[in-house]
Parts: sequence; C-alpha cells; structure tokens
Amino acid sequence: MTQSIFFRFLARLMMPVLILFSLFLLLRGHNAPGGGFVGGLVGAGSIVMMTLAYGADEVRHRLRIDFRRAMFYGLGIALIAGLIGLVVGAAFQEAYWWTPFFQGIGRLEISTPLLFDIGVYIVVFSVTSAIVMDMAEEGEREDH
Amino acid sequence: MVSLIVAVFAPAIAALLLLTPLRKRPSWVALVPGGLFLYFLAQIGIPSQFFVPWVPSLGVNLSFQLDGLALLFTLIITGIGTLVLLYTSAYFDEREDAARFSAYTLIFMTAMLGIVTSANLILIFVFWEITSLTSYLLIGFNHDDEAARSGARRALIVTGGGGLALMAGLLLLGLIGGSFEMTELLGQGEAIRGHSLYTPMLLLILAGAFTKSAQYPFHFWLPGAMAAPTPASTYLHSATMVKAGVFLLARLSGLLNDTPLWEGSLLIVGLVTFIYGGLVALRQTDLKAILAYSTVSWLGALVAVQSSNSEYAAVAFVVGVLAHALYKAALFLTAGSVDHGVGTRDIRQLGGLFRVMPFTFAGALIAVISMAGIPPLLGFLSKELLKASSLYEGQPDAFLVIFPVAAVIGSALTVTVALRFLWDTFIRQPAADAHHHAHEVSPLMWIGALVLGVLTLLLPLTLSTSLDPLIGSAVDAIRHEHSEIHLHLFEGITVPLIMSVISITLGIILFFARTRLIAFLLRLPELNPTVVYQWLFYRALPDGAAWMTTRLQNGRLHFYLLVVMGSVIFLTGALLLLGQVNLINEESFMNFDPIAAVVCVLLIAGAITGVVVPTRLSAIAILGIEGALLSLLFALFGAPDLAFTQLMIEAVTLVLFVLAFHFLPNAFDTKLSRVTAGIDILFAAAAGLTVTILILAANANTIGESISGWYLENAESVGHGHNVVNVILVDFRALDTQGEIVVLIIAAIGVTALLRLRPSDQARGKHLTLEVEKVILPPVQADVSIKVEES
Repeated sequence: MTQSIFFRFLARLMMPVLILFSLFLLLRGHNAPGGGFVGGLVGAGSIVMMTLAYGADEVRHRLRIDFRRAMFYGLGIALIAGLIGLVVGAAFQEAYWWTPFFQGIGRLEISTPLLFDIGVYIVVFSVTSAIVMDMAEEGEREDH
Repeated sequence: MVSLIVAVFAPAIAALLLLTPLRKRPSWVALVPGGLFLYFLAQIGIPSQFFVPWVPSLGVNLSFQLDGLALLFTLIITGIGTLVLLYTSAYFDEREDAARFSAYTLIFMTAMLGIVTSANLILIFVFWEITSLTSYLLIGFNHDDEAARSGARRALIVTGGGGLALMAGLLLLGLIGGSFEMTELLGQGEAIRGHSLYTPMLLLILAGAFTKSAQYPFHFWLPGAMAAPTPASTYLHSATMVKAGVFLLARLSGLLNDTPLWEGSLLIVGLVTFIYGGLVALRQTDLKAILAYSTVSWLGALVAVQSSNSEYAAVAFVVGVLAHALYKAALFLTAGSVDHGVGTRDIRQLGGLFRVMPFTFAGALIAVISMAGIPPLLGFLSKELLKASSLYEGQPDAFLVIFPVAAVIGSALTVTVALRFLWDTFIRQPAADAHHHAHEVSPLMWIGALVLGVLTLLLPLTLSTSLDPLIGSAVDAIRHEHSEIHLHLFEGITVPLIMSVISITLGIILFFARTRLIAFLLRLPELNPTVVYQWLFYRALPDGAAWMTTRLQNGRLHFYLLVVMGSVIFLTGALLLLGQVNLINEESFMNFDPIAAVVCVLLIAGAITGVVVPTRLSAIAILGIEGALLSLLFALFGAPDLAFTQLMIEAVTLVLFVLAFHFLPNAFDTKLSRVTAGIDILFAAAAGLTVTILILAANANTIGESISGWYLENAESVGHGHNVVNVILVDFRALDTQGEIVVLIIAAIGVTALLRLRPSDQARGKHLTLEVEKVILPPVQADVSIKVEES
C-alpha cells in the first residue's frame, strides 16, 4: 500500500482502461494477438495496481468480488463450453459456431471456443487477483 | 436385448429413489430385486446379449451376455437380495439408516449383476471395483465404531490391491488374445495358454480372484468385514461378492485352465483354505466370525474343484455355489436375528433359544442340516459332488490321494462347525441367568432364513424339473460345450457316498469331542497373516513415508532447487549421452539474427549481474528486465502472443516477488560457505550446459514431421480463426487448456492455504489439508449447496 497520491490517481485512471483493453484482447484473440489468457492477465493487472495503491482490504471492500469464488465460475463456463460439444455433437470440446447477422452491426461470430476463452479469461483474472491480494493482505497483517 | 441392461442398472436407479420421500419406507425397494428375480427366472434357457460401443478405439464396450452361468448368479443375487432388503427394513432401528444401507446395497447389486453379465474384460473390472467400493461403504457403515472403520479399510486395501493385480492380468489377457471381448477370446484358449506371458498373466488374475474370494493367506479381510451390519455380511460377504472371485475363475477357466500352473495353484490354495477355514472357525466364539471362517473354508473348496476341467468339477462348482449361497445366507440372517433378539453374538453366552425364537430356529435348523451335508438337502448333493470331483478326474498324481482326503476332512470340519452353531445357540441349556430379555424377532427378519431353508429342502426333491436345466446351462457356459446333466440324490453305494458317510461320522465325533478339540486348536499358532498386514500398513508404510518426507521435504527451498535441477541434469544429460545425438548440423546457424544475438548477450550479462547484486530488491528488478528481454526475443522470432503474455507474466511475477520478499530482509545477509557456494555454482553451470545442449540437439535433429504445418493449414478452415496460437489453445487443444486452468485454481487454493498456515500454527496443530478445505468448501457450499451427508 502506498500513500502516493500520484500512484493512486494513476491506478484509478488505469483501471477501466486496463479492463476494457483486456476485454478487447479477449474478443479479438481468435484472429489477432490476444485471447483469454493474456486478457485475463491484463485485467488482473488492474487489480494488482489497485491493490498496490490502496491495499487489499480496500479493494476487496470496494469491488465486492470474491475472486476465490469467481475462479470456479470461470471453470464452470469453460466446462459448459466443452459439454456443449459433447451433448450436441460427438465429443467433449467439439467446436460449434453460430453466426447471426444483425442489421447495422454486421455478422457476429459466437462460438463455443469463445465461450471457453471467456472461461479461461475469468479463471486467469481471478486466480491472479486472488493470489496477489492474498499476498498483499498477508504483508499488511505482518506490518501491524 | 435392451431389457438385460435395464435389469442390470435397475437397482442403481432404485437407489436414487431412496433420495426421494420413498426413503421413509425403504422396505418397498425390495420390490425391485424381487421383480428382477422373476425376470431372470423367465430367462432360463434363453441366452441373450446386449452390445453398445463405449470406447471402441480401446476395445472397451458395454457388452453384456446372459448365459447359463450368469443366469445362475443373477438369480442368487436378486433372490437373496430381495430377502436381505426385506430383512434390512426391520434390522435397523432408524429408518434413515435403513434407507442409506439399502441404497448402498442396491448400488452393489448393480455392480454384482454387472460382473456376472459382462462379456468384456474391462467392463468386468469396472464392476469389480464398484463392488469393492460399496463393500467398503457397507463394512464401515457404523463409522463411529473403530472396528468398523479398520475392517472397512482392511477389506478395501486387500480387495482393492487384488483389483489392481486383476486389472494388470486382464490387460495382459486382452493383449495376448487381441481383444477384450469374451466372445472373441473364446476360440483362442490354446494360443493364450502357449503364450510366453501366460504365467505372469495367470498369477495376476489369480491374485485378484483369491483376494476377492478370501483365499489363504488373503482371507483375513473377511472376518474383519464382519463389523458390517449383518444384512451386508449376509449379502456381500457370504452369498455374492466373495463369490465374484470364484465366478471369475469359472468365467475364464475355458481360456486359462488345463495347465500345471492352473491345476497346482488352485488345488493347493483351495485345499489349504478349505481346511484352514474349518479349523479356525472352531476357535471362534462370535457367531458371525464362525460363519465368516466357514465361508472362507467353503470358498476354498470352490477354488479347489475348479482345478480340473471335468464335467464333474463344473457341476460340483455350480451346485456348490448355489447350495452355499442358500444355507450360509440363511445362517447369517439367523446370526443377525439372534444378535437382535438377545443382544449378543457370543456363542459362549447363548443357548436354549429354540424355545424363545422358534421361527428363527426353524430356518437355522434346515440350513445347518444342509451345511452339514446330510441328505436329502441341497448341501448333501453339493458335498457329494465335491467328493466325486476329487476322485474321478485326471489331476496331477500327487493330488490323487491328497484331494479326496482333504475333501473328507474339510467336510467333516464343516459338519462340526454346523452342529456347534446350532447346538450351542439354540439347543443346549443356557447359563441360568442368561438373556431373559430375549424375544423372537419380527416376521420380516425370520422369513428370509425360512424361505432359504425351505428352498434348500425343496430343490433337491424336484431335481429334474427345477435344477437340471439351470445347472445344465451353467455347466455348458463354463465348459463351452453341451453336456447332459441329470442330478441324483442317490446313485447306489458309491465311493463318494462312502466318503460322505465317513466325513459326517467324523464330524459328529469331533462335535462330541469339541471341548477338547477347541482347547487343542487354541494352543496351536493361528498363522494369521494379519500381523504382516498390520506391520505393512501401520508401521512400514507410515514410517517409510515419514522417513522420505523428512529427507526430501525438509522445508529448505535451496535443497528443493538442487534436487529438481540435479534430476533434470542427470536424466536429460544421461539421455543425451546415451542417445549420441548430433548437436550441430549445417542448418544450425543459417537463421543467425544479429539483433537477437545482442539481446542474448544482454540476457547473459543480466543473469550474471542478478547473481552478484547485494540486495533482494535489485535482484528482483534484474529478473524483471530479464523477462522483458526474453519477451523481446519472442517478438523477434514472430510470436507476438507469446511475447505479450510473457511480458504480462513478468509484471505480475515482479509484483508477487516484491510482496513475498516483504517478509525477508532486503540485503542478502547470509554468508554462504565456500563448499555450498561451490556446489551451487556447479549445479547452475551444469543446468545451463544441459539446457544449451538440449536446445542445440533439438534444433539439429528432426524426429518425425513437425505438427505446426497442420495447425497452420487448418486453423482457418477448421478453427475459423486467423490467430493460430489461440485456435490451438481454445479449440484444437482445448482439453490441455482445460487442464491448465484447473491447475491454476489448485495453485491459487494452495497459495491461500499456505499463507493462512503460519509457522506458529504448526505448533498449534493446524494442518494444511484443513486450511485447503476451508478455502475450497465455503464457495462450493454456498453456490451448489451440496448436502454433505454424514458418512
């Protein structure tokens, strides 16, 4: 935890930017550098910055996200993406694509690999955040 | 036929019904095996099959067949299962207990039906293991009781260990025969017996069968399993599960028998168990222990008769299984009723119960007469056939005398055990003040033994209509050829009859001399292998584990690193040396990139600096720079995804390092001795050298075709993506990614648990596993609201 106003301001400024960027990375990952893994890491980067700036307790209090729980949701989404292939098709993790056309938006590509990648994103995001916040919390407790 | 597989899985589905309000009246589930019994009864003489591919690429299929042998066992399983479930509903005082117990029993029933009807070796093994597991749950049913827990654990270790051996044996058998399907293996008996792997394969399969069927010296789990509620002992540990081993021998005998190894091992182990079980049964004082050892004894006989491939042997086996299932189940039910009605199973405190418990006595009386092999009951027929098969068929010369003599002695001991059970429990004058609270049990509890007793009486009287077709088709299924079976209770004055008369007379004499006989037996050493088991699993294994843990897991990171690096250096280095690979070829330096070379030089310089800097913080900073340089290298070689990910990882790692080193002093203040430093330098240099050689070698040697081309070609057409790395991660190799995110979660749980576990906590007895549970369980409980049943 730092008392630096400058760093705190920067962390708050960067947080939405980083999260948006991480979502951008996640969605474009199939066709350009990016994807759920690195997206999750970038997203977690925002939490890491906030934790360094404000301390784990504060972040936990403000975010109201239990990352230890969220990582199981991510795993569940990834599993569901895999199970769709098993139920609809022949094998676990078989890919399915749905490409509806929307007037004014264009063709969307929604697929089980995308759903899977979202699961990976959530897991990586939550695991990294959970570990860093736990470590930081431990450090704070040590200081008192 | 679909109905066959429905029949096999019906009990397991009925077990699910016990999660519904039906659990309030668990006796209703007895209708399920009852209906199945009628179904299987209607199938006599109609062989049927069911086949659905499961994992066809591995030759594993849901392949079922209902032949004569399977049919006989399904009738025993469902018939006795019905009576046991009825008994259960009255046996337990708490309805919850009865429901839980019935659910386990029904799952077991499906597994047991699966074993006997499977026509695929792997499928047999799967069901086999489920019986071990349900047996564990049933033995440990009263988990407050230490004896129940240790008995359950012992049974699981012995039968589970045997199960592993069996799996290896069945895999070998499938490998030799080229298929796991029984139908395809059948014609290959000669080839299998002649194969060089026949001996290890047979020994492994026998290990599985002998542990399951409680043969000496693996029998000791069965008496320990008597801690189970009596209905489970009746059903699993006398009528069905313990017969899975001898069933498997019968099932596979057509493929494996007729060799000296088969004959010798079955005869020796079977006969030793036969006699040993009889002798030890006499030493026992607990009704259930007496019955358990006499079950061990008869299972020995069932193994011994299978040593030959004669028709007599097959008939003796089939009738022996049926007769024993009927009378021994009746006796176990009786023992449970006595326990329930009197409050003790100690034979020394019992007596005179025939007045108090007339119906229970009636069932026990018929069962005991059958067990003693007295005509005209089914037990007589079974003992007679045992003696006939011991005499007639071609066995190794050494056993020409031993087998018949052992058959007579073993049968005599059975007579003595049976008479003692009946006399001391029901007839003799009890001690004056004993059990005035004794009362007859409810009809549901005595009806089972009585029904079984009546069956054992009626079946021999209607041989030609009731038993001949059933026994005949079972024998055909064992021997894979048709034989005309006509059973007779009396065939004139034959040698087996004379032998039976001798053994019954001898048994009665021994019964009258029982006080002195038991006193004599108690002076003999027990030769109980439990001692070995206890030493192995309560001394050797924990001590060995503790020794290894203190040596390898001494808590010093420095030592861990040395071990890990040392193993990598040694194993990889040895392989590289043995393989004599090329390190450099003409293409090695063709793609030399000056910019990359500069980055590499910087990396090396950074590594050296990292070692010599005086403070931790600067070391961390240099590590971060190293990571950034590495990602630059990735970017240079056209892997932007990798470079980006690496950079992010470096950033997070840096933060983690800073947070972790928060607990340590900043300066490296510990002075290393010259020797330690020397060892460290040696390991570090060797590791660097090994990796360098490895990379050079990997570059200079092409082993097979690279797979990257395929990914590049198919990423867009099959995976609908331009980013090949991502398509591989989320589509082509998504299963790997799935595994990796699970590992991530495990790591996160581990970190949290470790952080909560302070050094001071260890002194207070906190455990890592407990902490892990605390980390995992709250979210799971809150989200899925799994009811953790008390079990």
